Amino acid sequence: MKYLHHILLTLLLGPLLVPLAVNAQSEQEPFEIFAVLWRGETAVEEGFRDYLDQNNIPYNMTIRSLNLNRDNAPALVEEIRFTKPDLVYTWGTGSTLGIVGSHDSDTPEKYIRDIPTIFVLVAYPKMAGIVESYESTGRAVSGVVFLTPLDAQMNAIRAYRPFRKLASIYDSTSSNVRINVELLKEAVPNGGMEFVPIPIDLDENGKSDPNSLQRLVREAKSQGVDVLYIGPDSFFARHGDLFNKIAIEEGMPTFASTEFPVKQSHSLFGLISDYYTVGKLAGLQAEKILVEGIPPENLPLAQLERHKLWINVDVARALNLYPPMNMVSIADFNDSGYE
Amino acid sequence: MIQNSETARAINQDRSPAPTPQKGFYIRLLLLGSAIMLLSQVIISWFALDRFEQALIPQLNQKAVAVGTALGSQITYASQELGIPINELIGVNDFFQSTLDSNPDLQYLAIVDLNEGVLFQYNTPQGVINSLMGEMQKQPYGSQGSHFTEEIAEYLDSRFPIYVNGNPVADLHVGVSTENIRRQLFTIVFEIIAVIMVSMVVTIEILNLFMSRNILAPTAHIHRVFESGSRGKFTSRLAMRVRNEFGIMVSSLNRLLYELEQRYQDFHFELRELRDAQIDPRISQKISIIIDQTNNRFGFSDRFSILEKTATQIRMPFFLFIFSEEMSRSFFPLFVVGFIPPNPALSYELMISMPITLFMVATFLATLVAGKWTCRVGCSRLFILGIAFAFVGYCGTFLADSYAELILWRCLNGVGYGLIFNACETWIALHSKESNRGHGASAYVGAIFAGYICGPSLGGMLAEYVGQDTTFLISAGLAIVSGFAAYRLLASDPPFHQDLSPSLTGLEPWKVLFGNSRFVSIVFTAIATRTTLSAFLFFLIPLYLNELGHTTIEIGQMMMLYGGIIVIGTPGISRLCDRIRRYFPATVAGAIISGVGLLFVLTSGLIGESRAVLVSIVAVGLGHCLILAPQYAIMQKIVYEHREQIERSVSISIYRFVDRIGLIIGPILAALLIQTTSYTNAIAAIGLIVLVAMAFSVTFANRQRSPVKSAVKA
Repeated sequence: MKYLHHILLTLLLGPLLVPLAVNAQSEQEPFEIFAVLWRGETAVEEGFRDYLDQNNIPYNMTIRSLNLNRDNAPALVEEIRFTKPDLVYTWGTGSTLGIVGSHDSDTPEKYIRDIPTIFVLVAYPKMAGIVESYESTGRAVSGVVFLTPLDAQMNAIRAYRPFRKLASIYDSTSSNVRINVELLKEAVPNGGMEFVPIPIDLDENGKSDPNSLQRLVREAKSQGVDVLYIGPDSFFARHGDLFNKIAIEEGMPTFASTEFPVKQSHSLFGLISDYYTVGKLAGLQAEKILVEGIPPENLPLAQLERHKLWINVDVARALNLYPPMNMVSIADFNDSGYE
Repeated sequence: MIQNSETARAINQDRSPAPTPQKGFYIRLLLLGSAIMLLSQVIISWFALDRFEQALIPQLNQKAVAVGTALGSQITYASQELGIPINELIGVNDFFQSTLDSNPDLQYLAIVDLNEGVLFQYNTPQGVINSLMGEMQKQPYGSQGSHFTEEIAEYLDSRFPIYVNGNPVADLHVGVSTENIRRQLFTIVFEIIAVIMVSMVVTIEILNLFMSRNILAPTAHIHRVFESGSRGKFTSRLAMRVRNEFGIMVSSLNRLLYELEQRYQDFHFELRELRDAQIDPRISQKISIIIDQTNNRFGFSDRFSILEKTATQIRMPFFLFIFSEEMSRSFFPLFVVGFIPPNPALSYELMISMPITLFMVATFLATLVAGKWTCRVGCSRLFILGIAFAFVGYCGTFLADSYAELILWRCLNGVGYGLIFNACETWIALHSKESNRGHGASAYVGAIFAGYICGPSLGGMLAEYVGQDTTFLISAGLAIVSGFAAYRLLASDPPFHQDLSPSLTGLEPWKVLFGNSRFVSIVFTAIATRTTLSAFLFFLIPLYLNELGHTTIEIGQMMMLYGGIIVIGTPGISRLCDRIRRYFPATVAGAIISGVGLLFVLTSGLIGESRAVLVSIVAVGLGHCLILAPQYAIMQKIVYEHREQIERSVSISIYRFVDRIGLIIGPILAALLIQTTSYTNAIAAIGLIVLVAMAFSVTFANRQRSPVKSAVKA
């Protein structure tokens, strides 16, 4: 009976103590987070901040951008060493490699190795050498996987129409994209289509030349390609509008595996991880490291379980390629402003 | 469902005794009680079904309305918000198909336009399409957001007008088949019938026990007292402690007997006094003669006779045990599937068959071993020991995590089964006299048949509603009730020292029997019959019907059909065979019916797979009815022919031994067949085996006859 009293008392008083505990937490010193972005803020950072705010995790966030150039990284590495933040946040493969380097780097002293780091928007973290495996990163780095699985992408493409030939017109100077093309060589035939990889011509500086796009799209069309694929390729972040417009004019549908070409340009459709949700998942990873004290090397990479099927209905109208009814009930529709 | 040769014997012999007055009364009471119960159950079920039907149709229509509204709003969204013209919608058929797949209650979906006719449809019968067009002409489109339901042909058609930007463009039609509703009701009717049958059988069993314990046995006893009383012998009184009308009557009767004896003793005393007071020796001698004569005419003693235990007392516990065992019959192979490890040692199909086969082997071995124990421990203890094995087996099966554990627990069950079978056979042999042996055996067989009917159907239902593993727990509970019944009804049965188990070790009896072509002939039929039972009914039926999409409830009901046919058919056929004295042709006819019936599954393309299986089950049931009793009659003849060389029990045991091999090989054979071919081909192959066995059987039977004929000709 004596114990029963204690239990009852705890049950009654317990809920009263919870707000006190929460208050105590909010009064603690804020965590310092140092964010290194590639091309300025995106919806990912919005989701990341919202998660921390909603879970009453105090933080100060310092934002820096590499402005699409990895050569700016060493200066930021110095700044991070000087400010000693609690967590480093990196956006994209370029930023992440610039700040933390690959796990088997010959010059580890050039990178941040001892401060917990989480990355977002890295297409192939293992193949890029950032982590050893998805389950155990092997270093003070963890992050969020954002690409939708390739077989799911192929299923989505085939569900739209029974396309037969898929071409990827790609920036051959990007390591991310080269990995993607290698994976597509297996995934596309498995999805029941023929795969045509078409590297973009290089200009005199050795950079992919947007002026060759129109010719390449026409060539693809003449080869019987009936759908174009846009991988995790930052070239299309810059030239997506041009590419998509050419494709629409040629009557070719485009599928995007990342958010940008479909949400901010005129790709017909895409199976994507929503940036905002990716940011929230990164917030959850940060909480595990900062609040729960789990070392990043013990934290498997997080992955979204649900992806978004995004369709630009104005592009569908322009191509006269309406989505099937089974997609109408599950897709998000958008008007991309194509004229 | 392991039938025994006792089956036929019981059925053969049960008809012989003419019903005594009390039996007539008992049968009338049983019929009356059953009729009242059946009537009340049918009436209650009828009302319940009627209410259910009234509730089901609006419910199904409600579903059609919910689906129609949801689809309509998606089509409107695609047309109005996305700007896709309604006649250019893409993938509508796939969309409709996936909707119907997830709502099997619905029959068809269609989008109909007044001008262009049917734009899209899935699964819509042509007759309905024509009617829809006619309807559209008469009554174009309803108001926005409304729906309208009417009966078209055999369907309840709900119509949902689709509006784009305020203008009606087409109608969406959602069809519910009234046939489908009827089919659902039919399924429920079958469930009700199964429950009524099970409850009837259980009621009859309870009534049977109550009647034989409280009415039949005491009246028979009183009858015997009166009978001997009518011959002047008042040698026994009744020891019975029952607080009912019978108890009162028995104590009056005992008082009467006591008073009678007292008066007789007084009379005797007076006679002796009178004799001793005589001087004339002739008179005293005369009185002595009178004393002797009265002693001869009237007999008294103070002995109390105890109510004897009867063979039928084992019926209730045995029935409960068979019931518990048969519960898993309709789903056991499906249950085994869940335990097969990812990389099995044997083929997948053999892995399914192993627990069934090993159960049979365990039963078989336990039966062999138990013969020696029975005389040492007594039937009741052996029965309770069997129940303990079975209980542990059921609980273990419920808790089993791996394939090896499942095998272990099922083997324990098999041992329990074997022990209990042995206990029952011995009990009946000990407690029935030559005159009522048939009656005793019929109690035993009746219990098996009652279990046949109740177990699979109720077990199938329980598996569906509470889960297959939990059904084993319920079986364990039933086994406990059976053990308790055995303890109450068979208790204080002392061990006996009469070895009833015949020794099968000597080769001589085997040689003699297998030298008899008629014996070899019936062995072929017997093994084929057993193989059909364990391969087709126990193994293939649950797997195949499950693959066809039937629930365990339906599988149980179909299996119950076999039990029902055997119960109803066997006594009649046995009587018919006795009358026309043609046993062998009956077994041949039975083998042909069951063999051809099994081949009937090949016609599944014509009449539907489930119907073909049903026909096969009925044919196998009928075939076995024709085989069981005549087969035993033939065996009796063979036993009689060899009575000089082999003891009766040894012959019967050899026959039973060979017979059970069929049960063991059945599941393995079926597994090997489905490993290489389809279910239908496997079932047909078993049918062929039955027919080939029958051909061998006929050949051997003729070989026996031919020398006789040639001798006659010579």
